[in-house]
Amino acid sequence: MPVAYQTQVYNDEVCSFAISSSPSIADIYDPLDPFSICSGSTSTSSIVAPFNCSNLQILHALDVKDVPDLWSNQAKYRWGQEVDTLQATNELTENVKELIGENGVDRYYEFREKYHDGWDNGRGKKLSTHSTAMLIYFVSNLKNITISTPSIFLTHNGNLQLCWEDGRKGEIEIEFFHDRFEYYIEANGEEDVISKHNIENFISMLTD
Amino acid sequence: MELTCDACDVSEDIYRALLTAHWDPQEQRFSSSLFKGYNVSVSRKGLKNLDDTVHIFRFELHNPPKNCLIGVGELSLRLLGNIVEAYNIEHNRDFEVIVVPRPKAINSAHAEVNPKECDVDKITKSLAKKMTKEMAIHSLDAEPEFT
Repeated sequence: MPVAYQTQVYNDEVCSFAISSSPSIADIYDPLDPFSICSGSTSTSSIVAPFNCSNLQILHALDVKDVPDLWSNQAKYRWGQEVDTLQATNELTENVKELIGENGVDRYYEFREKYHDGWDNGRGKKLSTHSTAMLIYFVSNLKNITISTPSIFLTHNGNLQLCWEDGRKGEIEIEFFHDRFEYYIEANGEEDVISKHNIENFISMLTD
Repeated sequence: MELTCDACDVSEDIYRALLTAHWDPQEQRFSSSLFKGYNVSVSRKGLKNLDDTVHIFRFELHNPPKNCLIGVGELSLRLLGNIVEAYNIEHNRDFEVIVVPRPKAINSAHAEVNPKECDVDKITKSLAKKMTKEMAIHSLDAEPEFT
C-alpha cells in the first residue's frame, strides 16, 4: 500500500509535502532528478518519491524557502542518505528547563497550549515543534557557557525566541527557526542569520 | 523623519496589545516580534481611550484566550519617527515607517504599522526592539479566562 505522509513546513512561505513510499511511483520520477516531478507554487508543492518514513527527514534538511532554491539545492542530497537533522518535539529537555527557569517553563506551556494559528489579529502561527527542537539543540551546545535567566517568547512565525542581557553587550535576542538562528545583538547593532550547522561559531560569537 | 502618505498624523499616539507571547513581565523584557515585520495591528489613542481599547483587544482575543492579554503599550508617532531616524543614521539607510488607518467593524480606531514599501522591506528585529523600549506600558489586571 502506498504510504503518504503530510508534513507541515515551517517558514513564512513554505509548503506542505505529500510523500509516498509506493514502489510503483518510481516510474513517474527520474531518480537522477527527483524533483522533476515537483509541482505547484511556492505556497503549495507536492513531492512524490519512494520514501520511507525515516527518509522524511531529508526534506526537513532542505531549504524550502522557495522552490527554485529547493530545486537547485536538491543535488546535494540523495534519497536514502542520512542527513543531520533534528527530531521535532513539543517537550522541553531538563537542561532547557533549567536554563529558562520555572517562569520560562510556565510560559512555554502557555504558548503550547493556548496559542493557536491566527493569534494576534491573524498574524501568529502556533508553536512549531521544529523550533522547540532547535532550542534544545542550541542549549545542548552551550555546554559550560552561562546565560543569565533568559526570557522565552513565541514569535508570529510560531518560533521560540530567547532574550537575555549579556553583561558586556546589552540585550541578545535569538529566534529559533527549523534550520537557522536569527539573532540581534544590541550592543553592536548586529542582526543576522546563521545556519544551524555553524552553531559552534555562533555560540562562541555570542560569548566573546 | 516625516510620516507621509495617508498615514496618521505624527501628533497621534498608538496602543499595541501586549500578550504573554510578547512580554515577560517577570524579567521586564519585550520581544521584537511586537513590531517586527509588517501589518502590525494597533489602535489610535485619539479615537478610542485606553479603557475602550482594552475592551476591544480582549473582545478580539480567542486564540490565545483573554487572560493572555497582560498589558497595552503606548507609543507616540513623533517618537516613532525619531526612532526610525536614529535607526537610519546608525545603519545608513533610508527606511520609512508609516501608520495607516485601517478601521474595522469592531474597532474604528484600528491602524497598521508598516514599512512604507512593505513589498520590498520589513521592520527589522533591531528597529522593532528599539520601538519596544520606547513604549509606555499599561499593565492589566489578570482577567479570568472564561468571562
